[in-house]
Amino acid sequence: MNGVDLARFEFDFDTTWQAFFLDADLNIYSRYGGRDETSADGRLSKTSLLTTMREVLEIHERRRRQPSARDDDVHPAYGKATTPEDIPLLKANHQGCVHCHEVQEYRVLQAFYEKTFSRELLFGFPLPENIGIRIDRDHGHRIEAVVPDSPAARAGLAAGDVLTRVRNVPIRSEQDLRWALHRAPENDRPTVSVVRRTAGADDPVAFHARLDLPPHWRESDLAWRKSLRSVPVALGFLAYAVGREERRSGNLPDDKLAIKVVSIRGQGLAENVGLHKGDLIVSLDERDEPRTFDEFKSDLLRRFSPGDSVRLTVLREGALRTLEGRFPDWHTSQTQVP
Amino acid sequence: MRNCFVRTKRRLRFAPLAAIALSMTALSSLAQDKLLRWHDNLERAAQSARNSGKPLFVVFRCAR
Repeated sequence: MNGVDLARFEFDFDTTWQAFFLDADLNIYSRYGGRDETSADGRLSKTSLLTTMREVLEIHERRRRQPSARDDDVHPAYGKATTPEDIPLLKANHQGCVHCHEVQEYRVLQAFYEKTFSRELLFGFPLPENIGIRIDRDHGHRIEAVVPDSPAARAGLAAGDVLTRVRNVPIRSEQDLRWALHRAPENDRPTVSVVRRTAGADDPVAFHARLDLPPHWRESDLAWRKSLRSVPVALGFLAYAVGREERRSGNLPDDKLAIKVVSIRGQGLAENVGLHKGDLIVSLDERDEPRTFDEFKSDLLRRFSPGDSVRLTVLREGALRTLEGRFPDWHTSQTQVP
Repeated sequence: MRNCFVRTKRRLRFAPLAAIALSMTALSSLAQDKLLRWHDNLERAAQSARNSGKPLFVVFRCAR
């Protein structure tokens, strides 16, 4: 990512593949890429890429024929050009190739030291599911299903609707939708434009709707993100998810949470709740789904902010104990990415 | 559609993992097609796009 204009080529820097479609003046027609917690390529498909390519060629040709075409055919620009080397901590501490995820990690660390860090920085590029829709993977921006009573359902969106614009962003792929949501200010009610084809009707109907988004609507699983390791949270303990063999020998069920604490270090959540080395964490606020340690850390970050009360149930010396304490203030002594 | 775009790819670090990760994507046949001629300089690719009237297809890929 050395020297890349991050303002123009903004994408989810934890991903390992991302494409852009642009004109010769570097105006962006579409972003194509993105992933979720299940796999690196589960949201990509040849057919959806072809859909995006066709739509890009169509708008590109139209703008070539009509050079005065509207600017809202391309993605809006945000801010002046900036590169990874403009992040002071990266410039001071990093040498060689800058990987995508390192951009996100240094942004998080820089925000912490500049006292501008907030949880929202962790939850970029919200999934369509966060507003209550599932996208048809073979199309890319056609709605396959709407979750009842979700923001999308309350806005009147329905399966089969094709998203064409969200806020001021033309939508030609799922990643366009995610970027438009990523860029939505807090407390915004984004306007969504859709085209609906109704059986029996000759012409499709275009209409607009507004999304009422609930608190925490941006949040998704963080466990897959490489940048999770640079989040400024002091857990104060090292642990691992107990594997199958150890579960059997300890008579622990396979389908329940089992996080083994192997060491306590420094201040942080462990000290606040009174965790001990050797404790087996079996629930987090009454929830006991099996989790890897990164998934457990992701759950903590999704559900708590500094000052919130955290309740853990641990197995200690054969007995269950409930521990409770405050989620620690944001803190890290890390100034460079490992 | 193959010849409708000027392609440019910002290569980040070449490592075996990069090739493996790329081959796992649904786009591997496109990305590995030896018939494609990729630019590795954005400015030159933009100039080529200007000359040809084609849009740009820019790919970032990253090895962890």
